[in-house]
Amino acid sequence: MDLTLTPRQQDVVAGVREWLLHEEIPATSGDLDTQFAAARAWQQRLYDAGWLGLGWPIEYGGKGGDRLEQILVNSELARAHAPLPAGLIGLEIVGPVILEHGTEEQRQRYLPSLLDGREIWSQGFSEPDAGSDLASLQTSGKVVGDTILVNGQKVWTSWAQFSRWCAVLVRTDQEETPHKGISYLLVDVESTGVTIRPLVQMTGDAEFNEVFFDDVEVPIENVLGGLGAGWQLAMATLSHERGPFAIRRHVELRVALDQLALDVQRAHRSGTRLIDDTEIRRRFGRCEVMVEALAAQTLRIVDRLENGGPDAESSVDKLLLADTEQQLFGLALDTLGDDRMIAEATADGVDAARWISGYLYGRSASIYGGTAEIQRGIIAKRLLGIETT
Amino acid sequence: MRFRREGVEEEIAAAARAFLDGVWRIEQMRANGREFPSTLWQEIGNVGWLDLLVPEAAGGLGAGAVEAAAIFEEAGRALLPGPLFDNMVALPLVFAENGRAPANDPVLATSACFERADPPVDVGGGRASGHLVAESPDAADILIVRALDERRQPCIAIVDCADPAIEMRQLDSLDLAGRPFHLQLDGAAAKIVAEPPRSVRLTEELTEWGRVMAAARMLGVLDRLVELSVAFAQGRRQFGRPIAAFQAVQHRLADMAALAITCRSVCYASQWALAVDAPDRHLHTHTAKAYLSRAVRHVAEGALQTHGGIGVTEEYDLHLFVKHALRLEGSWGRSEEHEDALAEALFERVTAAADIAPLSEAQA
Repeated sequence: MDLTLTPRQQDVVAGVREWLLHEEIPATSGDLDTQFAAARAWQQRLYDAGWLGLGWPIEYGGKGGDRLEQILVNSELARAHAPLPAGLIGLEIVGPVILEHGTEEQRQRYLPSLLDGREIWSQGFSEPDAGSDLASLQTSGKVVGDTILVNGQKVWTSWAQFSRWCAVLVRTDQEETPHKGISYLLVDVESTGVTIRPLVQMTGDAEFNEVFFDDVEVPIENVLGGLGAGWQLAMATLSHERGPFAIRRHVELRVALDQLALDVQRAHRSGTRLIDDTEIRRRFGRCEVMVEALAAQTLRIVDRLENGGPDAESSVDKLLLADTEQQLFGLALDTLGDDRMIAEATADGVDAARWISGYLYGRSASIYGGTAEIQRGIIAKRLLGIETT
Repeated sequence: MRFRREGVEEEIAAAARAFLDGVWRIEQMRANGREFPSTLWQEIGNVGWLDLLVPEAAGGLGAGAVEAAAIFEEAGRALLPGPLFDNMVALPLVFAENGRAPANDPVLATSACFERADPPVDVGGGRASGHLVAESPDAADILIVRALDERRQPCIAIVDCADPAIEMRQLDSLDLAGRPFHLQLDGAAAKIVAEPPRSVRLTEELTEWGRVMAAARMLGVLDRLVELSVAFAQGRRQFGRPIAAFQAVQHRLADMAALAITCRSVCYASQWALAVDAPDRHLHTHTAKAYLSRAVRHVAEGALQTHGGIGVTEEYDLHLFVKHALRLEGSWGRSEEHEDALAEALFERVTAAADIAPLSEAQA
C-alpha cells in the first residue's frame, strides 16, 4: 500500500490550486442556455490553462500524463466549487472509448475538438422500450453501400440540445442475436432527419431530450470499433463512466455536506436550534461516515484504473455513490421547515431551493447509468459468480 | 498510487491464514470454548506475531498498522480467541522504550480497559483497587490498566495477574472467541508505567489502534459471513433451483458483497492513516469503526436471513460468526458514539473555515 503521490502528481495539484487562486469561478445561475454557454467558456479556459486531457496522448491534444493527474485536477476543481465543463459526456464517456477503440482518423478528427469544447457530445443509448434492457434496442441502422440509414428514437439523452455529435447505438444486423447486432455510430446531430426535443425534468431543468432519427444518413466510416461491436463498446463505456464519475461526484458531495453543515448553523425549528437536535446531529455524523467511506472507495477506484481489477466492481461504486447522495440530500430535506417546498432561501440561511433540487435530482442517482437493480444483478453474476437464470 | 496489500503486507496476510488454518479449528473452540488455548498461544508467540510491532532496534519486526491489521483480519476470519490486541498492540506501545515488557521473558498481557471512557482503577502507594472486565486474565502474567493516581491524574499501570488481591470470575460469554473475566482488585501490587502527558497520549494512541484493529477484525468476520451465505445460497435448492437464482436472494447477497468491498476500502484508508500518522487520522479511525460496525451488523443479519432455518441452529457454525460480529460491533465505541464525534468535528471544521462564531458564542 502506498498512497503517496509522485512528484509530478504533486506538482499538478499545487499548480491547479495556484491557478484557482487567481481565476474567477463562473457562477452557475441563470437559465439553462446561459449556464451552458458559461460552462462551455469555462471548458475553453480550463483547456487553455492545461487542466483538461492530462492523461491523454499529446498527439490528440492531451498532456501525455497519467490518468490520476486528471482525477486530482477534477477533485481540486470540484473543491473550489467550479462548474463542470460543458462537454463532460465527451470528456469522460465518449472520448475514452474513441481513444481506445477508434481508428487513427477518428481519433485525429474527434478528440482535439472534444477536449477544448469546440464540439459537444451526447450519448444516445436508451429508447422508449429499451431502458434497463438496453440490448433490446430497436433504432435501426441499415447499411446501404457506404452509408448507414438510421431510423428510430432515443430518449433521456442528456445535453443533446447543445451537442454537435451523438454516440448512438443502432441495430445494424436484424438476424444476429440481440447483443451482436448492435453498432456504435458517431452521428452528426446537424444531419438532415435528426430532431431533438427537450424534456423538462421534475427539478425544472431540461437536461434530457428525445432524439428522433428519420432516414438519417451516416457515413460508414463513422462506425466505432467495426459493425457489431456496439454492445461491447457500450459496456466498456458504462464502466468507464462509473469510476471517474464517482471520484468527481464524491468531491461534490463532500462540498455539499460541508455547505449543509454550515447552512444549518443558524437554523431553528419549533423553537429549537437544529444542530441541538440529537437525531439531526447524528444523521450529520452518519453522512460524514458515508462521505468518508466513499472517499476511501475512490482510492480503490483509482487503484483499479491504474493497476487493474475487475470492471464489475464499478457497480459497487455506483451503489455506494447513489446511497451516499440520497442519504445526504434526504438529510438536507429534513433540515428544512414546514414550508420546505417553497424554493427560496429561508430567513435563517438554509438554501431551500438548492437542497430540494438536490434531493429531487438525487433520486436519479440510483437510476441513471444502470439502475441499482441492474448493478446488483451485475455484482451477483460477475463478482459472486451466481447463475442468474 | 497503490491502494492494495502487496509484497510483505500480502505475505503476512497469507502466512497468517495458512498458520491459523493449521493450528486453529472451530471444532476446537466448540469442544473447549471456556478453556484458554495455551498451545495455540505458544504457537502465536513462536510465529512472531507478538514481535510484529516491536521496533527492529528492540529485536522486533518493526512493522506498522497495515501489516498488523492483516493479522487482525485473519483472526476475525478464524474466530481466534485470546488477548490479541493486548499483546500484539498494547504491550509494544506501552513499553515503546524497549519494545518489551519489563522482564525479558515472554510475557502474556491482558488489558481491555482502553475502550472505556473512565479509568476503572485507582492506583496509589504501589497498590491498585477497582473492578473491570478483561480477556483471559487467568492465563496472563500482567494486566495493563488505565488508572487514576493519587493526584487523580490519568496514568497507565501494570498489575501482576498472580496477585492474590485480585478476585477473578469467568463470565458466561455467548461469543466463544472471547473469554471475559470480571476482576475485582483490592490493593493488588501495581506499578505506574506512564504518567501525564505520556499516559494521555498513549491512551489516545491505543484508542486509535483499537478502533482500526477492531475494524480489521470485523472485516474478516464480514468476509466470512458473505462467503458462507453465497455458498449456502448456491447449494440450497427450493422450487427446483438454487435459492441464489431468485432475485430477492441474489440482490441481498449483492448488497452484502458490495458492503464487504467498501468496508475493505474504509479499513485500508484507516490503516494507512495510522501508518503515516496522518493529521486527520482520528477522523479515519472513527469512520472505520462506525462504518464497519453498522456493516457487520447488517451483513450478519443478512447472513441469518439467507440461511433460513439451518442458520439459527446451534450445530451450524454461522451463529458463532454472528455472535463474534455482535461483540466486535459493540467494542471500542458503538457506531453512534463515533458518528456523534464526527458530527462534532464536521461542525467545528466548517464553522472555523467560514470564520463564523462558534456555537457557544452565538448562543450568548
